[in-house]
Amino acid sequence: MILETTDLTKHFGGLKAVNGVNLRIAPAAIHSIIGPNGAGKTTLFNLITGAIKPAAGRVMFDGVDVTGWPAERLAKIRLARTFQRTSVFHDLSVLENIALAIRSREGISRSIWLTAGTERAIEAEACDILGRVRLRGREKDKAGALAHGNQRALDIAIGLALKPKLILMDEPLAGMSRGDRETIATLITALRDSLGVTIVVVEHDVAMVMRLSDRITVMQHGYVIADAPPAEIRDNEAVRKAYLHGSFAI
Amino acid sequence: MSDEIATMPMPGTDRRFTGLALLAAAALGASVPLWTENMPFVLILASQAVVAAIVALSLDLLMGSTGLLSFGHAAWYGFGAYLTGIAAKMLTADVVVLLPLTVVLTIVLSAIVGFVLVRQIGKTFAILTLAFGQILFALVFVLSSITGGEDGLQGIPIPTAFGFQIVKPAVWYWLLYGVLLVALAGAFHIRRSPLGKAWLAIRENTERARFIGLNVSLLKLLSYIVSASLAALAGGLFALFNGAASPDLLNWFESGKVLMYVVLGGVGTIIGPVIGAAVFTVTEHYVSSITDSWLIYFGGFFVLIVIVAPGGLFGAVSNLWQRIAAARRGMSA
Amino acid sequence: MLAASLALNGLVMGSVLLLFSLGLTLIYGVGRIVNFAHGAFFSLGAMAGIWSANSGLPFWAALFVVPLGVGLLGVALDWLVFARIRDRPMVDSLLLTFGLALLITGVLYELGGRNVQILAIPPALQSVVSLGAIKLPMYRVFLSAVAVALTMALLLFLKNSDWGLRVRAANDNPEMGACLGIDREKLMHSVVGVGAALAAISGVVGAPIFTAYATVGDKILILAFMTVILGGLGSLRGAIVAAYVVGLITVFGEGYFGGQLALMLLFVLVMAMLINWPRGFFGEGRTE
Repeated sequence: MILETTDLTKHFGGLKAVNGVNLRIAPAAIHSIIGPNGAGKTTLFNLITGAIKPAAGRVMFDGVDVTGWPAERLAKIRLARTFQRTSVFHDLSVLENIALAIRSREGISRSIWLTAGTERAIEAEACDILGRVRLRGREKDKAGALAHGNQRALDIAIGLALKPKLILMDEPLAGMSRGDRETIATLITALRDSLGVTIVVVEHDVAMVMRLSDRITVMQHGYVIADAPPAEIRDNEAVRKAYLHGSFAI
Repeated sequence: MSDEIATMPMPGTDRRFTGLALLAAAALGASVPLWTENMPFVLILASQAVVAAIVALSLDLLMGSTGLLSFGHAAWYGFGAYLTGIAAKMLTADVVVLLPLTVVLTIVLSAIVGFVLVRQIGKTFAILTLAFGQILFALVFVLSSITGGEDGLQGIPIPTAFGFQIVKPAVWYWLLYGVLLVALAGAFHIRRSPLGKAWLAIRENTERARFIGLNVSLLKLLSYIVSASLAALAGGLFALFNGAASPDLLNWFESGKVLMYVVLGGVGTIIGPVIGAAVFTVTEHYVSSITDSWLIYFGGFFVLIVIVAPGGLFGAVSNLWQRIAAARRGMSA
Repeated sequence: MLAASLALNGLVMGSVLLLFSLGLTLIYGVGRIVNFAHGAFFSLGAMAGIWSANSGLPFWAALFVVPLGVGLLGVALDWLVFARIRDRPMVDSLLLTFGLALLITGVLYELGGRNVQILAIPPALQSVVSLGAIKLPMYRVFLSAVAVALTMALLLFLKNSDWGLRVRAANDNPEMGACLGIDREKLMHSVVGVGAALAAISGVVGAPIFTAYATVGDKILILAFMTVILGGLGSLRGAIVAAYVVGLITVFGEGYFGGQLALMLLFVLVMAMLINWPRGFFGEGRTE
């Protein structure tokens, strides 16, 4: 398992937002976490990425106990994330967005002098990554000038530049047009297949999740109510019930 | 040739033009002592403007890179002035020793203060910088046996360099101007370096910067230290140039002025605050010779700028310039 | 005996500081504006006290007229100036109030603020109160009584009145406030008005002790900033506790080490506290 949580728990006031969650995520797979609003998906994400500290339980990533680690340390051991609201550096060029992450990965972000060779190598790698997300040719544009779908792709590309073993994606399809959704979905699959990256997705678009995922965890009221491949989830009675009152059809 | 430039907007042409303009401006600045021989007073004013420009640049290295807003930047300027002045009286008048000493001690103190400060959110940071300024201001009076208290630090000896005394106003001007040019070159270099880019990333999106593995606190601390050290260096130079230091250097009015230079010139533009400082210093001199109520005009102008042109006057002008240039390019294409 | 006397004076100082800081906290809570000009309101109040005395107005009348005038000025400033930058980034509000502080200070300099003046204590309050062996000037007792009474009145008003309900709603959550149909513009005018009036009355009742000049409010502003940081930005009960803590530290520090060193001690204390408790005494300071 590349990512494993043990009895992860977090309360807000008297409410248990996440309750004894045991998540086991296999490498090189697309693993989705779904559930109705208020199921605790976002809290779970924040617990894993150290934005909030758990009341109990722990998080193991790649054999290391990373419970409560700050974001910058997680990035150093190759755990990346993308954000629900697209999060890129608007005023910097597309290329620079990627180069920042590459330099950070290489531990040279505080240097004030790079050899021409190093700079070229970084640029070459950045172009290569941009090619993977189909942003080649937009290197010099400001990130803020990109269309919404392309910004999301850039967001993912920044994560890729960290050479991650795992990327957590917080609603990568939210607020996208139908065409953009397809593009991003294709991109996600391609990352798994060509780079062997593990991808954990929190997503509302259940239909897309069913198509994309290798495995799905369903949460409700802070508990995990099902954890299985898509085909089994489809037939799971508890999941049906959980979604009965929601607006989703499976 | 000029037609070619106008009709063929090659990439790099703009840059070359900007480079030439900067070179011309730099040469003009360097020539000041040559045409002010009969106006010693103008040369002194110009020297003061250069010092102000260095301080403005130092604040922009903080505000313009990591986005931290300091309301007590005069604290570091004044700290440098007093430290250098006192060391000059007690230790040596050799600038080769004095200025590095000032910078090193500033690095130490700003690292300690900055360690706590940079971990605060924007508003708390702003409040604490103002408070820190007032604390150092108060320190001048606590240590009045050394600092001279209300009367200021008097009798700073004439500094020497390699055995020669630095006396001539023209030499002073070139010394200060040289420091400004070196600091500017350094600032531009850093802006393009990984460090400068990482700073900009923090200013723009701290959360994202953290998740690409940037150590935000450390990077902010670095910019705070660089900024404080350059301000202290400017203060040290000023104390030696002026031969005295007054507690007014640490006053919050002074911090306000520095902030004004940067806001007026456009935060984060590096060159804007430098020009802002020069224009402002000269204006202040002439306005305050006409009227006593300089602070009223200053405060009023400050309020007006924030409301009307938050990007700074030079920011507004350069925006306009870029738009005109873009329109022309659009028409010729 | 010194300690007991300092403790009493610390409470007096804390009461004035509290009155002053409440306005700062309210303006921050409702408008998310850190008002750097709050010290200038204090100075203006103190100076206006002197002007009233010079024009023959009795002290008691000045206690009403000055805060009323400065309060109206606050309303006007919010309407004419602060309203222009309502939706701008936080940086602009900081710069704006900072510029405003410079402007008001500049005006006060022109109106006689370069010299230190002392407001005479009204004859009725010139006696000395003896508490056992401790002697406390009657005026200090009066000063803290005024400050405590006004603070209580304000807190009760916040708790029970319709205005108070709106202020608290906007303080807790600006969006929710808007949702409750609160006219934020008018509310903010009144909050800045009340805040300015509180600062001005602190200045005028403080003038016989702290004296009056153009920058008399600078030090109290710094103390108030320490107060709101210790208490947590935007936290009312935090401000109440912190005001007395700061008042006591200042007075004890002055008694034992001298005034300026006390300020430094306080600053070091605040910095030390921020390392462990960045959100103030009650952990409810804002961190946005």
